[in-house]
Amino acid sequence: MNRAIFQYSLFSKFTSYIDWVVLLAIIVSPTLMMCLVVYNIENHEYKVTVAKTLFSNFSNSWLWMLIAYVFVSDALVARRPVGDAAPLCLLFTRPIPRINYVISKWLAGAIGIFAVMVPSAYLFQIACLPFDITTNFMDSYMFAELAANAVSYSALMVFLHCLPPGIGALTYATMIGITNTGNTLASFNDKGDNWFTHAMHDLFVFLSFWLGDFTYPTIDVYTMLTSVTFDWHPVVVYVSNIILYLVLGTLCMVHREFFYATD
Amino acid sequence: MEQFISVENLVKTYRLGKVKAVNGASFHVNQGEIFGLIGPNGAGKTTIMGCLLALVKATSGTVTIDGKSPLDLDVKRMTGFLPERPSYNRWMTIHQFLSYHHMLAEQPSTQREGDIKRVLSMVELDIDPKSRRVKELSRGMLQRVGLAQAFIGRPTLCFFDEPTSGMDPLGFILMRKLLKNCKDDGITVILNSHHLQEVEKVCDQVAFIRQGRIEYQDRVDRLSEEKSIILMRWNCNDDAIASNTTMIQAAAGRHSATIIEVNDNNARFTVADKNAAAELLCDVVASGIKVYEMIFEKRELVDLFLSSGSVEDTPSGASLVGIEQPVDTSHSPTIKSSGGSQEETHTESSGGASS
Repeated sequence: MNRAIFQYSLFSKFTSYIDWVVLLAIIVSPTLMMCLVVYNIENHEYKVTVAKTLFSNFSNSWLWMLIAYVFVSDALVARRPVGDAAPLCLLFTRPIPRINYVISKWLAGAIGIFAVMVPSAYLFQIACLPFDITTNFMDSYMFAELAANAVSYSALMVFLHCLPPGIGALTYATMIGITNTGNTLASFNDKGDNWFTHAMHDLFVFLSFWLGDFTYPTIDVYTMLTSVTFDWHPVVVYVSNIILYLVLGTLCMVHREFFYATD
Repeated sequence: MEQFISVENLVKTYRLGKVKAVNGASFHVNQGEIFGLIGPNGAGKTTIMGCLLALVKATSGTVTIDGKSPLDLDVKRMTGFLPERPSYNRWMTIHQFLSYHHMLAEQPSTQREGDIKRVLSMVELDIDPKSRRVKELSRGMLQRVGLAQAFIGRPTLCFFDEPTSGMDPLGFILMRKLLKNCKDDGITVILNSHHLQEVEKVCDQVAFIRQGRIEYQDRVDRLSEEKSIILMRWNCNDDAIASNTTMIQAAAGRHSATIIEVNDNNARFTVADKNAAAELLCDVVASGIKVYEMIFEKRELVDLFLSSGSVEDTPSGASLVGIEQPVDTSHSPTIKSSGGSQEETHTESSGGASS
């Protein structure tokens, strides 16, 4: 790991108070949403159910991706989506192996996500008290889950970040599109009346089955640890996903050329 | 001097080999030398620099720096680089930016403040580094910050891509001073620049690149020895202008002299040596032209640049292709260059013929 890149990604690059305001807004947003929704509900049981659902969505949400993006890329601090070729071209004239770049970004992203999500989760918990919701959302399982998901989402974002500018977003959009299409098709029993629609149906269902774990790299620590028999399958998928993201990210970095100027 | 950088048959292609950015370039740079890469736009200078910095992968050929691959971390540790386009972390203050690069260059943190002061004074940037952000700087100041960044890791090998771009005359003087300091400190420098007069003043060696090939490489001090340039002046009345021009071109063709420019009463040629110059003079005089003066001029990079036909790439589309060839007497190209810069070069027709 490279200490300079790690330190830079995690906090050195945040030089303006606006950066911190944005991070604070991300921390506060799930709590605010919960307060707004729960405030108008009269029934206490329903309040608890809604709060639980919101917390569940929050702990597995796309917010992870957004936070990882803040730490891994320079888009927030630059105030615009930035292509990374020019800064990286200068960076890679320094004695930094490309795998160190990937690992440093990954760890910075994971710690960054965790540092934002934990206070956000505790704030959510505290904000429930005035509504008489005393359910303990932040138990040790949830704490472990936040840490585990921070690690995997950061790895996914680093992989997308290592792809050439624009390709990362396109790749992820394609993955989501295929996964969601497959999930939708899988819910239909009718495969159509010709071989083409049959084939397309099966192809998308297969791809969504295969890509699903790859697109949403979360792990349900509570279910995994409280089930009667321990299921290794999600652990294997989780670990292999992280390794795959990091290997692919490193390969992208090694094969990318950083052409800083045109003659 | 010890050979420090070695480039052999370097080839870099794009679009599955359809575009050859570098086409078999070979050159060597000695340690402590300032090496200039010159050539027209699109010649492949930046690609060569990219290969030397291991930012671009060569399609074939070998590049070694101090006997190692450019990817070697020891090579990177000794490298400082100023890119042509300064896309720095613009939201940072100058101090933060230089601190970051000080860390990236693996310099001891105890020396950080001292090193930042040192490089800022080197590039004569007299501003508060802790309050000024990179995005607030002018192009020239940005270039100075880039130079400070290049020197922050105490490099022994520097790559400067158009270092005077956007700089004022004081910046030019500073750059000359920095390059002199590099030379005194034994730092090897690869300089990519369009400012030929600057290159000529500071470089030990130059390589002229055209269409991805090294067309010429030699020590700068040998430039004037390679081929001589002569300036010939004659008396002429208005009626004889066209015939004199034709005769001059014919004489040049007979003695394999290359015309750099022909005017009504003077012409500049490159000739192989003094004998060739004497024979050309005899021939011109025998043709009836009243030559009253012939002087030898020092060959400059700009002449090399022009005589290699590089200005065919000028935006104006002016073509000088073929001026290195012996002159074809059936045409009469009149080629004028003034001020020694590519931008000021143009062609014009004379005596009813066109180039």
